[in-house]
Amino acid sequence: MNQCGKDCPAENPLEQVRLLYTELAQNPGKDFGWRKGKKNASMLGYADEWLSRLPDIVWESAAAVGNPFCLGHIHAGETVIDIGCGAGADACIAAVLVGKEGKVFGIDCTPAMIAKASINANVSGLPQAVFQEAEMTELPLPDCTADAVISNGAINLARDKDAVLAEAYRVLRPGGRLQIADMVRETSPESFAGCRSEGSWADCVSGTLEPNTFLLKLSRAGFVDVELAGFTGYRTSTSTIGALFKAIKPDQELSVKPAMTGCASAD
Amino acid sequence: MSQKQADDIRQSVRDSYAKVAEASDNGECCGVESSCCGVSADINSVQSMRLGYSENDLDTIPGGADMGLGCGNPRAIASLQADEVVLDLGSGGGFDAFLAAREVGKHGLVIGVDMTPAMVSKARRNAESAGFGNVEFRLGEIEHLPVADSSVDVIISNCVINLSPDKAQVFRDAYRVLRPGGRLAISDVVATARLPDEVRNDPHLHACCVAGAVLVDELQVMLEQANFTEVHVTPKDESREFISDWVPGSGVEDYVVSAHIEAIKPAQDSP
Repeated sequence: MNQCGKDCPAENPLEQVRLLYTELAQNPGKDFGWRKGKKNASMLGYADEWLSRLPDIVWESAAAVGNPFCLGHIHAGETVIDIGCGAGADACIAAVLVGKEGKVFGIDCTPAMIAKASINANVSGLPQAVFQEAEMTELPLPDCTADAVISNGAINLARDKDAVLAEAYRVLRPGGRLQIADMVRETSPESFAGCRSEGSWADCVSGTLEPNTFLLKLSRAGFVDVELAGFTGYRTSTSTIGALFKAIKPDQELSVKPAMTGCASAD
Repeated sequence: MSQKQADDIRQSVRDSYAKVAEASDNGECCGVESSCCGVSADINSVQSMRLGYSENDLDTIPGGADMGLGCGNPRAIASLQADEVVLDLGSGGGFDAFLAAREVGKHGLVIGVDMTPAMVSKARRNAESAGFGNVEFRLGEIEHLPVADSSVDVIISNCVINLSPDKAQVFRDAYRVLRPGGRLAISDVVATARLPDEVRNDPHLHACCVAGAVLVDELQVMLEQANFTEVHVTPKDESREFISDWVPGSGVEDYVVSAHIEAIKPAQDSP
């Protein structure tokens, strides 16, 4: 399916993604064609206390497409992983919520974002948030690490979504929660086929799935209580919109899951 | 070491190796000013033969994968078996990973991890062009491996762990991803005498695999504290000859030497 020509970077989205998000990290004032920053977060329902708790620099490179925190409470003392954390705004909020006894791991594939996120957590006084460079398809964390995995506008950027969801499943503890905001496409795959002049893979357009496909992939990855919780109104093109998904890693491994995805029992 | 200092070291290393990857993409083989660590005036393959690779090794690997950045041949001590899962810490252009891939065969798997995006991209291109179906490259820091628990049979690494600002964490995470009974077979530089402060604090000499070398005894303790058993660190005195070429005239060969580092994760996992 290579009718896209030069303008469609779907053949190798990773390098386009890294280029674009390096630019967003280093030049946040630029107009990228989609909303970002503190005002955008406010429009998506981020609590005023978070908006004022964190310095403006934390918000300037934040391109939230929804509010993953509205999908479930993050509790003090919990461990949270943010997949595709960018400059770390959500990771900082999670760090405020888990407190000093908790831990937040932000993962991103763009070194400039990891560097900025580390600075942002530092200026926010949140040493419980740490940031590590990796791709979403292979997370640099032990199995069964997290009480909650969050992500905001990132999974659509991965070429292999199944691998991302399998990794999210691996690093969640049994009973752990997945709380995701991501871009989805509203139209059918037929009408979407080929390259859209209005947006690229890196701009969260070409790599999006339909909501039902996303739900199916969550179930196939082993998650239960899989739910499309709503749409956020955020747009990266006329046919893509922000959506909220939640799911649970079952307490008891389902028998159909291969044993290798299980977690070692604590001795 | 503070988080900031550790990040500065990582960034300096990443910048150096990104330049090596780019220079190599542009057809420049060596003489890259900002890096050394084996990128000497030698043609890369000559350098690699001095490190114990055979001519056959060099002939069967995709062009561009051998950048002459090693300080030994970890496969020589790894005794790789068919079907094993091998993890290469700091895989660079993929040279050692491709050689390992031949040994483990199509039912085995080799995972290369590198924190320099340009190196990961280059290695993936090399794998694709050479048609290796049993090798994959993952972006990540060797202190925080993008690999599931207890999923690897053998960890190899060639002249990389010395670059890490937190070597104890490298060995702890290596232990996590090895299956019980799995093994480390690493080639790296070690210090045979305490490095002078002006060497230790020089970022150029750090990226050159000199300043970050730790004493053999320190390495032994780190491995044991990470719960490894059967720890053997074997310095190779003959390596002083090529190490003297890394930073000519500096006398670094008086302080560092290449070594084989071997250890086992016990079959019964201790808590």
